[in-house]
Amino acid sequence: MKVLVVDDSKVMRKIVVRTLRQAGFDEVDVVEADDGADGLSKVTAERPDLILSDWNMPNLTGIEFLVSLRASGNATPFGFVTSEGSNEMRERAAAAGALFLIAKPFSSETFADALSPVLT
Amino acid sequence: MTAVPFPQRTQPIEESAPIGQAVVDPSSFVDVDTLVELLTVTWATFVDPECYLAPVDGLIERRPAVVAEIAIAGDAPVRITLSVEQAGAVLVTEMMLGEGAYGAPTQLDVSDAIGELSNVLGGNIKALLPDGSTLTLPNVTAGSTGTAGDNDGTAVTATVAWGPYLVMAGISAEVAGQLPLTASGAAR
Repeated sequence: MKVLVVDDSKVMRKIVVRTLRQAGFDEVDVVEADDGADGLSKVTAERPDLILSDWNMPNLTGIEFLVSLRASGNATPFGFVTSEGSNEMRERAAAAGALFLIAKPFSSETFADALSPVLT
Repeated sequence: MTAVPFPQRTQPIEESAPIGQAVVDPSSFVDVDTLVELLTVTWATFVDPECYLAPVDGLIERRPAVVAEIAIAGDAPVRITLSVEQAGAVLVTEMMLGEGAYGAPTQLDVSDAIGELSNVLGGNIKALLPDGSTLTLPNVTAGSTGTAGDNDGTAVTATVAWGPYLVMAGISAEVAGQLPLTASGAAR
């Protein structure tokens, strides 16, 4: 299994990957992208099984990334890991085709609950 | 570690004021204790699981710091500032990067780390504001502790000690005419 982690913050990408491991997903391969535009190209090149994306990013935001992905016919499972977890954002995410939205700060238990249906 | 849910807004946001005046008093939706709680949960999750952030009262000594600012636009515009004493900011960055990082973190890494912490604070403050608010990207500069939102008397500020290092978070009313922070698009 392969997971694409998309975040404009390098330190947050490391924290997301670390939390992924702590949640028990030790065996997954991880690919990183530093914004939505980079994420789009990495999806094509890497064919991940799951995308974990920040929302608030330069160049192409997380929601724009997801909308572009779905518009191109790509149905790769997609979840947000973002600092904003309002009902409004969750509804927008779900309407665009996201499976879940994990709000920061998060725990490894939250990751395990959200990712298990996709990665196990 | 179990994340502690942040408090929800319990009071209505003030009505808009004329252009040129503060449009919202941050103390109408957040208090110092809530801000300390936000800092503590954020620190415990991303920096130091065993941390204790001790509130600091009284006059704050100004020391060189890394200062991140992030703004929330909308019906209740506010600006959030996070300042972390310079040496503490480097340690924060090392702890966020974790094992496997090699060498001292670069200034870019430090800006990234403090900016991301301000983004987490901003996202959770935004949850206390009306729907439709938008969050900018963080802007990180060199400054000093004690600069968080102490300019117009309408700020809520919390100062804590993380070990020997001062950390300050402030929320101030965004005033019309203030230089805008960089937005990364409509979808925040």
